[in-house]
Amino acid sequence: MGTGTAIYNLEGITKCFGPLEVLDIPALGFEEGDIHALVGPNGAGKTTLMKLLALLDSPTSGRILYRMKEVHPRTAPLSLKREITMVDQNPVMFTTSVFSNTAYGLRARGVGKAETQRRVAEALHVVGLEGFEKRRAAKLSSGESQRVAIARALAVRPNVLLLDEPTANVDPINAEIIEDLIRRLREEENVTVILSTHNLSQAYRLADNVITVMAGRIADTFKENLFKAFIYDEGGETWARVGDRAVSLVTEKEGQAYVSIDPRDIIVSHHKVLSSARNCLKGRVTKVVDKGKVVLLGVEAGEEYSVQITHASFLELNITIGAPVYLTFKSSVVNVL
Amino acid sequence: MDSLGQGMATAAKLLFSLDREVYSIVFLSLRISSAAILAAALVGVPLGYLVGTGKFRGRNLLGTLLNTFMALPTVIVGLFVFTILSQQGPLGSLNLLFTVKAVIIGQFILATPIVAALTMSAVQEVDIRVRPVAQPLGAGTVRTAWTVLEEARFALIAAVIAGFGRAIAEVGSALVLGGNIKGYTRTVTTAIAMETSKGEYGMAIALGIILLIVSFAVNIFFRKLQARTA
Repeated sequence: MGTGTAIYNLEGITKCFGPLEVLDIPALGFEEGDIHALVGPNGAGKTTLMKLLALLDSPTSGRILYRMKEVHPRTAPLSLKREITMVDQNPVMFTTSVFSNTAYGLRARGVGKAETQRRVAEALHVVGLEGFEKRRAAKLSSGESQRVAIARALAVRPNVLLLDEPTANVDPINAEIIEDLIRRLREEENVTVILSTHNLSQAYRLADNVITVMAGRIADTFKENLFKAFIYDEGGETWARVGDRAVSLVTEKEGQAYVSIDPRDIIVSHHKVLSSARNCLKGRVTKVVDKGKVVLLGVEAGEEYSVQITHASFLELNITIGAPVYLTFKSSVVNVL
Repeated sequence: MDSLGQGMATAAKLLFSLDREVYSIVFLSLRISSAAILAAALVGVPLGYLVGTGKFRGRNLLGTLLNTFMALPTVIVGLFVFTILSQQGPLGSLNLLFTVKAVIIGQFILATPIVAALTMSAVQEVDIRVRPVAQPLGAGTVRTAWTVLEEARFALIAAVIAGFGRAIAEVGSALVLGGNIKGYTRTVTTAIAMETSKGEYGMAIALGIILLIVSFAVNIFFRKLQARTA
């Protein structure tokens, strides 16, 4: 769990590629020991932000403070850079064995042979790939490669582990293993994890702190139920096509956009509710996460919606996974980004 | 056609009779070209790496020059080194002209651009993939470079093979710099040139066949090396 101290503080960060500004973050902090998820659509600037945090790239302007000290990729000592490691979305395996791949960072640090062997075995055990030491790394599946890449990063015992879309190119079984692993890291190792994902429900499943990145900016409010939509007018009303459903909303915008709905603004019911609310979508419960006083539901209704209800209503409605439900919300709670 | 048949027969006879002169010429050729390629690899691989991955002014120009020098005419290199090593030249006092060392220098100059240019294109691709993995794992400049070269090893061996081929097959600079002195600087190619000018086509073709066999053997060796590292 978080220690309450910030490991990163970003101040007035911008990043431009030529004339194109891809990041603009006035202020952002990351607490030590927590799992942070950067959520946003592809091309939102998540990877760019992670590269700045990994000290692999420098911001166009602004300051990055690591443990309250300003750091810069060009001037940061190697010892400090070695506290932070990043696993790429499509990690490249060196064309050697799994053992050599996992030992890479340790060899770079001049760790002794016996210690290297111990830590490689430990790291491969953590990712569930014991016995893979002698395999050719280039011959692994993408899911296994991703796990070796995480083992390779863990072996050096970083303070900060940055994971760029760790499950995006991975089959469901490996994705589950990796999610499990990230959860265990937080419990067993004292490492700050910052991961990026375009999968909102994954972010909420894993992270203590969810940060939404939209078009290079940190979205100021809690943005769940963030969907790609197409906005159009029909019959004097404005609609957004979200997944395969039409959602009524109030906006002047038209065409491609992102919409978001606060999970607290959605009413769940077993039967269709007749009310002034313009939206009433039929869906099916896919997930139930008990958070104590509140319960988060995942509901498939053209897209996967997150809905937050109190524990008391959850018990009263007697909601089960797979049950058909209706989601009701007003046009005015649909935010256009 | 008759010369070719005669050449084959002479080649077989020379090879199987273990003709001392022929073997000493072949070994000298191998020795010279091996020394040249070793030096060319020691200079060409780091040079190719720097030009391929470095960020400095004039890098593109240097890359273009390396590519151009791959096509250096051997006789021009011979003449160039000749003017430097001749008595009147800046390095005349070293008395290197018409020695084995002079031939090695010529072949080194011919092979280095090939090794460097091929290394350059090999590491450019590998660097893009490997650097973003090596650096976050704590690799410094030297280790990153080493890893990139290690990952490019297959192409690096190919670069060395190409450079060796250029060195062992060239005749222009070996003739100008070595002088084709019997038992001293006579290589397979200079011997072929001499036998041809004497009208001894059979002997020339025989030596040509032997050169091909030697090249074939060397290439098999490098192939095996590539296969082992793949």
